[in-house]
Amino acid sequence: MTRTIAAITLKDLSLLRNDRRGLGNLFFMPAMFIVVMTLALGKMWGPDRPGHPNAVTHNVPAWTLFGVFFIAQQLAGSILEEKKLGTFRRLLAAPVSRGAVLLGKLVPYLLLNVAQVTVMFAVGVLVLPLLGAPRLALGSPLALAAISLAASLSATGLGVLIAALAKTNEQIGGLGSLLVVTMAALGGVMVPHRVMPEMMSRLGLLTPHAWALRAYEDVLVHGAGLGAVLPGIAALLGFAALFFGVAVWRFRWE
Amino acid sequence: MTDTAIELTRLAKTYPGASSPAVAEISFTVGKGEVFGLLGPNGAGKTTTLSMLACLLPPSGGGARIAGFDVAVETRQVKRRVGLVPQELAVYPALSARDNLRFFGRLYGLWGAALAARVDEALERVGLADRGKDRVETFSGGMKRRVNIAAGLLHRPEVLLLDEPTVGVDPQSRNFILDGIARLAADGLTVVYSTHYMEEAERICSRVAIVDQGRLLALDTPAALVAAFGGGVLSVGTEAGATEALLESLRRLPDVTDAVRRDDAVAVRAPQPLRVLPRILEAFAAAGAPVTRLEYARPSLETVFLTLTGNRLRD
Repeated sequence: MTRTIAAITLKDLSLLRNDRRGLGNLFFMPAMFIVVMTLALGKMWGPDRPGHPNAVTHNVPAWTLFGVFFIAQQLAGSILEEKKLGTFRRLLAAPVSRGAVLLGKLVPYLLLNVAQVTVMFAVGVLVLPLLGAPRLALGSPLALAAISLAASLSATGLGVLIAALAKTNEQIGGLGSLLVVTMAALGGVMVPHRVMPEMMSRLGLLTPHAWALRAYEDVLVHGAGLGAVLPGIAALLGFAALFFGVAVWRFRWE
Repeated sequence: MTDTAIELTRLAKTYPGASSPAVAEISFTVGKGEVFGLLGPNGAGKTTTLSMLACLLPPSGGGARIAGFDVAVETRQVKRRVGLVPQELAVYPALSARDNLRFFGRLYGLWGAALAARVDEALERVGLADRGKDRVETFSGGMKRRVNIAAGLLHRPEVLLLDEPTVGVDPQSRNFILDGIARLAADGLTVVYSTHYMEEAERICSRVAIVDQGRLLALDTPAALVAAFGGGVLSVGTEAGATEALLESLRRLPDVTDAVRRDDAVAVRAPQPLRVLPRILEAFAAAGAPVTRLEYARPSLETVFLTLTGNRLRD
């Protein structure tokens, strides 16, 4: 099981190494949003006050999350590509379990998410102060890591779900963009939930983004530890379970 | 039973929602070290049959055993013993040949020095030892096919299932692949080989099963099939077009087995067509349909197939 997962992970990572466009989307795009949105909308957030969110504490986690969920399309595309190439038939013909095949397709993207989150938070801590923005104080790194991992599980779950529902690259692009962008908008990535009308803000709780953002804010702004953000993490794991569950139910093993 | 590598017992598959079966109760056995041909046009059920033997698809009726293991139940044991070479070029174009083979070897539990040795061995077998470091996307069609075959050999299977392994390759690679298959069988590997190229089957298969629309129509050595069903086929073209009366008069000729309309010509089948040629030409003349074109196909698996199905193998 672990060997199969390791084999698929190594293979997918070496394929990703050659995918410049994909990597650009996953790293450059969210980093650019963090920098541009922080600098452009800095005034909107008012002066930096302790215990209150500012442009940095909103934009860093928000656009990190956007990038983390962007991986769903990449993951779904990679499964579809295997099916088109016929390599998926080879995976299924090998003496390995279906669970190991699916997990093998997940782990490289989880690792990629970890790298994304690390880079984006590093932008917040190291790059933004150079540009005149407030420095990002990390608070509890353990809590941040736990939130990020839970968010990544729901993002990769969404990826497998899209792969299970879409039959063509066009459908992945369409369904993927629709879900990823709509969820981000509703979940408070573009517009913070606190400036949304009450109804919109509540509607946002139907997305994993909203739960992750509230948990990140608790840590970055209010200094919460792991224990205080466990409900948010549980919600994210719930989304992950829901996405995986439907995905496995609808998945075409052929 | 130790000489039997593969055994199909009324193996059947009907896809959900399909009105007719893709594979309809096919039974045969393949001996160890045999090169067994599965011949039929596209849609005959060849890929479905191979998929069931490779445990990719559960049979909907009957069963099959590979080295004594049930493909529907003992999938791990079967998968370890089977090498599948899918019809698609089932390799990663962006990876090198060596990295592709490393990956597929790892799926069979090979790591480290053992894996490296097997990868070298497989590359050697398909004549790509000097191109292992190159990305597969830089290869010719024939070389890609050879990587595809190498990927099915890494774990030293007892049974190799090849699904149309020579589609779209140049003649040189085709020869290389066919010779390679013969060598593998000489080393004791059992090969099931699906194709719609009759000449290939005649060349390398010890026995062939002819399938069409999911049914097994005939099974024997190529020579025996040609002797039993072959005959020869004359394709006679006429601009006047063939009337039913003309076909009927042809069928009534002694030593003519059958006459059917095919494309814009009439296919006349006979054990020795050249002997009845004069009478055939007379029949056309009598029907007021002067002959404008004449082709003769020597007895072969191609004509066997035509005899058995009334259809041409390649559309």
